[in-house]
Amino acid sequence: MKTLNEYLPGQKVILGRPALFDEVALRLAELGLCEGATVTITRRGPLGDPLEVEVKTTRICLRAEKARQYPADLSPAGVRP
Amino acid sequence: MTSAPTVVLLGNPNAGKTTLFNALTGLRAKVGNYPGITMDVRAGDIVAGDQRVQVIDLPGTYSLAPHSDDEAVAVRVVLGRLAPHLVPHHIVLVLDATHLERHLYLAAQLERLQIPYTVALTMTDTLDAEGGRLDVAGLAQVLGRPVYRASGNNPDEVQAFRQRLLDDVRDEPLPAVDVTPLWYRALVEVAGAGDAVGSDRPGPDVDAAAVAKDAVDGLARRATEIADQVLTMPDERPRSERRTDAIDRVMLHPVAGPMVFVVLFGLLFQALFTWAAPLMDGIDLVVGGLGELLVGYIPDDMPLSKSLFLDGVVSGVGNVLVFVPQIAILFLALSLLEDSGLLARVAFLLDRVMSRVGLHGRAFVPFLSGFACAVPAIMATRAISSHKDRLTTIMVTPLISCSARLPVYTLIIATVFATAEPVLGINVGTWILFGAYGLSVGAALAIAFVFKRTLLKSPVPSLVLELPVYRRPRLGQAAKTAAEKSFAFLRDAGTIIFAITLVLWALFTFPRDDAAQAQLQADVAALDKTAEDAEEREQALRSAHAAHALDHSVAGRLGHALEPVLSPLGFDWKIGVGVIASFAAREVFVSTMGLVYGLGDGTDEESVSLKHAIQNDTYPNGEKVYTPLTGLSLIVFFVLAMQCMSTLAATRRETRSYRWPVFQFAYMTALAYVASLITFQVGRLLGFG
Repeated sequence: MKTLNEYLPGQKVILGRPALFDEVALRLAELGLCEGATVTITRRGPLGDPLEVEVKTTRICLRAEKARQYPADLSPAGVRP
Repeated sequence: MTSAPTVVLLGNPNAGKTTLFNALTGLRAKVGNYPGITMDVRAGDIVAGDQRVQVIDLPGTYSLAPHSDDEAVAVRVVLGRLAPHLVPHHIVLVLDATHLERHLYLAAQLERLQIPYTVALTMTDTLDAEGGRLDVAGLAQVLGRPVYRASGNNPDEVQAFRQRLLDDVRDEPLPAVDVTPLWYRALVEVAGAGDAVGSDRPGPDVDAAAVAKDAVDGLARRATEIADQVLTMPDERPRSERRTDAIDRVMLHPVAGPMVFVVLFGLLFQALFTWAAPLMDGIDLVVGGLGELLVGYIPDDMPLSKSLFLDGVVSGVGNVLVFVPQIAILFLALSLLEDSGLLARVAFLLDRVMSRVGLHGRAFVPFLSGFACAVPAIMATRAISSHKDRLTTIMVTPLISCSARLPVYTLIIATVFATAEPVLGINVGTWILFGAYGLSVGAALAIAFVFKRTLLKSPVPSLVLELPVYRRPRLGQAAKTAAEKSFAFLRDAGTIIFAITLVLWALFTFPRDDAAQAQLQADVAALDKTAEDAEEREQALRSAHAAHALDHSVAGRLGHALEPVLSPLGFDWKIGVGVIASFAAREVFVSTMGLVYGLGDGTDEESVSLKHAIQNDTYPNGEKVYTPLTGLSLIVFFVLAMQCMSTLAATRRETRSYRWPVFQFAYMTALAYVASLITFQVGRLLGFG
């Protein structure tokens, strides 16, 4: 399965269960990045890191290294125009 | 202070808490000092008739399981565990109606911990304008708690809410919160906040991560459930979000973004470096002028009192006040940047670079400000939420070459490298200046790297960052922040700076040589007042006496005593005296050298006679005191040494301890000594100097 880090800006995905539920994962979950949440990848920082995603009109940054711990499926809702 | 019931404002960062706090408390707010915590907690009063309520603006937090030190303060206050006199009587949960679902996560936590609270809804006007519909009464019903509209920028809502607070607040503090439920202990454990919250750790047979994950999922579901019942949003993307999308396309663009920030921070830097200067000169002028005016009331036959008043008291006041323009400008700008949402974008853009050193993107602002002055820069570390990262930043910020070092560099370059041949077609002075700044930045980053891995060992801060919606910043709020910070500096650091100024004055004044003083009076009296050069001759007598008095003073003797320690660096006793004097402020080195060389008061780095005196100074054996190598060694010393009492006072204020400023002084002085020693000795071995 692909990870959150492998999708492109503009793609909408559904998050799976993170490989490691640590402090960072807890904070991400508290901000809305829970298992099953629909997340849009918005953009990447300069040189590809960090990653900006949007969940329910909240923009959140996380590092690519963390995004790799989240399995993610392309959402049926597809790509945001 | 402790008798009034306490209302605390709890909420996510960017929930509109501070705006509401300012609206509720007006101009009566102040930055409070609480033992055991190193951040500012703002407190203000609501007064109506003989009723008084204390309102506390807690640091923003996303969760009751705190992840950082400032969140821990908020949580400990809510749980009644920070300090006995800071137990809340009433908790106000501030919820942003335009991000209701996410903000309701805190409500779900309060609910599950059975903590009573009142909701203050902000941004309902924006929600209405964007076509969202919120059933306020329904929300109150679902939550089973009172809910009021209370946007800080709506005076009617604020007025009504203030009245509700006064009516609802009760005299007894809230009962102690039960922090024993396993789900909560698991959340706290995973967040790494066990010590801060003081709850028992889940047992070894419990999979804390699994329990915590289930708890968050459950709390988030509860938040969604509540939001779905009371809130309907239009299908189209809200206008504020679309505007934010558009601005971010530029601000976070990989090329355009950094360029915009370079311009923005260039302006801020210019403001600190250049635009603050006239204000600082103005303060000097006014304080100095008032001093001159008032010293006239002290009789002429009391020269010691005059000196104490002018060089001790007046210059002490000046030394303190002179920092206010830079502090005010920096915090005005930071407040505007933070409020608008721009500061979070800086962290996004700079994360790659700053995380290499092991610091958060937010450490960039103190570093940049450090080029102007370490005092406001150290105060600006407040934005760094991890205590150890903040300490690391505070410890290394004074290594960044501040503007007060520039006159010293200039004087040394102009005297010992004036005749040097250009290297690669570029002036040697330019190379040296470039090297000094390079050394300072390199040292700051390297020491930060070392501290982060040893003394202040902590993980590279995780970048989990909310990029808030852009909002129009409020100038009034920014001005208020600037004023509060300036006042807090005067109150907390001012006394120390003033006291050290007096100590330095005494070091440079006592013991006095009464015979020489009498001789000076006699010589001046004997001058032919009608002669054309009478004034010059009197000046020369006075300058010579000042040099003698300095030599005679404790500071002068200290300089002589230090000579054996300093000579391996290439310094003579006069430089030792200059180094002691520069503790008041580094640029004082220049005027002290003027005094030492008998050129009188007020010499600056452009002074031709000072340059000549330095160039021509020799040791008794005829060797020049100032060789290019001595100059280089002296510059290295000034780059690295901690010679600024005001910076130490700022460190003392921000760390609320004497240990850290003492450590800062010790490590920087040791670093400077060793680096200068290596420079001078290796240089000599290589045949320079």
